[in-house]
Amino acid sequence: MKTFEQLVSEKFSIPVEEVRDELSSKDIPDWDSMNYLLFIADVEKEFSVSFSMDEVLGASTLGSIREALRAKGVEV
Amino acid sequence: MSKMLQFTDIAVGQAASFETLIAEEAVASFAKLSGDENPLHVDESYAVTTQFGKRVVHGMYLGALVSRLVGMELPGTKALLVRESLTFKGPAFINDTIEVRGEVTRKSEALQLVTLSITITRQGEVLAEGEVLATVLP
Repeated sequence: MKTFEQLVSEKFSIPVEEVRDELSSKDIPDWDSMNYLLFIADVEKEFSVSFSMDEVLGASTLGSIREALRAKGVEV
Repeated sequence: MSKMLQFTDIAVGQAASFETLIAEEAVASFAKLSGDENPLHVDESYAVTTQFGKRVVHGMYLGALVSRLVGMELPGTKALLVRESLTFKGPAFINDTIEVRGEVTRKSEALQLVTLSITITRQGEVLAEGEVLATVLP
């Protein structure tokens, strides 16, 4: 199973060691609407979870997504 | 005419498929359209010297048929293809009749996105398999 950091790294083309919770679309050049959609799809598949519309639209940072995963019982 | 399924019409396990004959004209047209005029696809005299013994259909022609499946059958009109991945298991040839089949394996409510597993077969033999993701537009 891939880690949250690996998924971020693969989708947004940043090194795993540079993945931090405070990063947002302003910090990650590859964070556009299509990549974000594909990233969320990969996260849902990898961790077998489903996000709500509010969780997806309201996530402004990587940390927001991590928190949403933790709220679903995923240890990330 | 394309089907027009809404996101709520689609269920995990739902499938769609079609059969098609790969015509020589289609391969020639695809070669021109894509610019891939590799002799393995377009030159019979070259192709007979290869391990395949005849011209091989472009793999991405099969990929284009997956686009037809998504755009015309499942989900149809409201589909927007966002990812397609295929692994080619064996060559397809001109005049083959193949089946292109997709089955819904996941739905993402938040993204209005469906995931389909794709299988392309010739008389039961798997020629390619893979996955597509498509959003269903409102």
